[in-house]
Amino acid sequence: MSTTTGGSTQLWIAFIAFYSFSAGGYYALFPALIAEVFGIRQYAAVNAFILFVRGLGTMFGSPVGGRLLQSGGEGVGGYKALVYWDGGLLMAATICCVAVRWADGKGRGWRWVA
Amino acid sequence: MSSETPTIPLRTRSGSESDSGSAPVLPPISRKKQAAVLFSAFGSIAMTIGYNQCFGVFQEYYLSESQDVLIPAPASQASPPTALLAFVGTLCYGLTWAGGILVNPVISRIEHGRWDSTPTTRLWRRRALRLLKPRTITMSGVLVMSTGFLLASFSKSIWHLLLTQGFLAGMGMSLLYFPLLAPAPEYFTNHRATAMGFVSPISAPFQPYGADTKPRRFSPVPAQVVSSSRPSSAPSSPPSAVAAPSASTPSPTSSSASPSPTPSSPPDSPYRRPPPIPDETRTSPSPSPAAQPSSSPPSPPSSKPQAPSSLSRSSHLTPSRWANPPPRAQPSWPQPTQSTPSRASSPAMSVTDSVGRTHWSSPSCSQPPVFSRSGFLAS
Repeated sequence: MSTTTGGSTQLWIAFIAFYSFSAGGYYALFPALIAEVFGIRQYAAVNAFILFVRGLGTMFGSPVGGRLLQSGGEGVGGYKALVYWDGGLLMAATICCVAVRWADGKGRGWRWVA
Repeated sequence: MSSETPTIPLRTRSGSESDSGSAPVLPPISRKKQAAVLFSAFGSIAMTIGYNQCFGVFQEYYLSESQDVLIPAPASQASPPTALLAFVGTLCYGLTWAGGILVNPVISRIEHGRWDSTPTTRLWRRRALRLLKPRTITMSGVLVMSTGFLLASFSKSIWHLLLTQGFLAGMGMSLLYFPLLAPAPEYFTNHRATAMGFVSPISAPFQPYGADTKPRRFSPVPAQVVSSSRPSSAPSSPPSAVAAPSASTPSPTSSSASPSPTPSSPPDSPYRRPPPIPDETRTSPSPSPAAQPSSSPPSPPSSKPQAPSSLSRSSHLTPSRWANPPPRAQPSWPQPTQSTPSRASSPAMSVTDSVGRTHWSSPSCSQPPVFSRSGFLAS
């Protein structure tokens, strides 16, 4: 992508760094979160289910992206719909995480460090 | 169903290890073994997850002008089917994750010995259950994955690729990948995080195994130690009770390899495990477990009443137990309330203090230790 967009290599690298830094928290903390919220006894089942949902998203996310990319038009502008779609999904995920945190804090009293 | 399977052994194992302090009983694992586990797991995950991350190489080749796999070359079409080609890769990747919902219950059931054959079980099913071990699951995953790639080399159109490189390879990868997640961290105690970061690109599924819960399910420890410490109904049992049955209880490997020393046991166990015991009891489904031990040689002290295996097994399967799991102090299998004389078993049974432990560590009980059955990565 950096070759097509020309001089935005810095932007690209910044995006990679920021996104990886953010997504690494998701990946690393998910099992700990499962073990804490659902209990270690439920860990295997819940983890399997979450991986299942992740697999579903992986399976169907990319064709949707390809379809959006095909209908987007030429050049870099073709990625616009894809970016909107992806950003919307990430926002929804963030809202879900905040909602889970809120629901958890509502039951047990709010603390910043749960 | 699968939400219930890991409950008992995780609880009892962590309880017995952290409370009774039986963890030092486990011998250390050699560094050679650790290195073998590390590199084999690394190689397997590099083949599964690493391949999935690199599907863009395949896609670029399929979309290139010089490809000679797909007969109507996608590059020559008016609108190249990019999305469909990308779906090949993401189907594989998605099935690698999503297959866990099928593979994980199987793994946990094997691990905890939840699958038993009944007298009405057909012979082929008993044989299949006997074959169903993590090792065979992993090897079948390798076979399925390799078949998928092999058939993908013969494919001519994109839906061939979807079926082979997407579906078959994805299912094989799932079969290969998920059995790795459980036993790998149990081989590392000191540098577990480093090892798991080296093993796994996501390294995350291993974190909940903290320092206090080291299951070591597949670890090559002496099996009788694990098996005796495993089914403790009283998690705070003294370590002597842990070590005591291991002295004279036949190890599970021997009990599964050779006919266990209880052919004289009464045929009160209609539910039995595939490997052990000769079949004279299989033809006689016991009508009532309480009525059975009448024919049993009254064996030493009936201070610990033997739980009739059929009773415990059937009540394992009652949905009420799934609905509300019991509190931690109560063992979730039924406490033997009937004071039936215990069957003829090794005298080590009388050593034990807790009833549940005695019931489990009996070589002829309906639930022999499962650690010998899961010969995964352990010698």
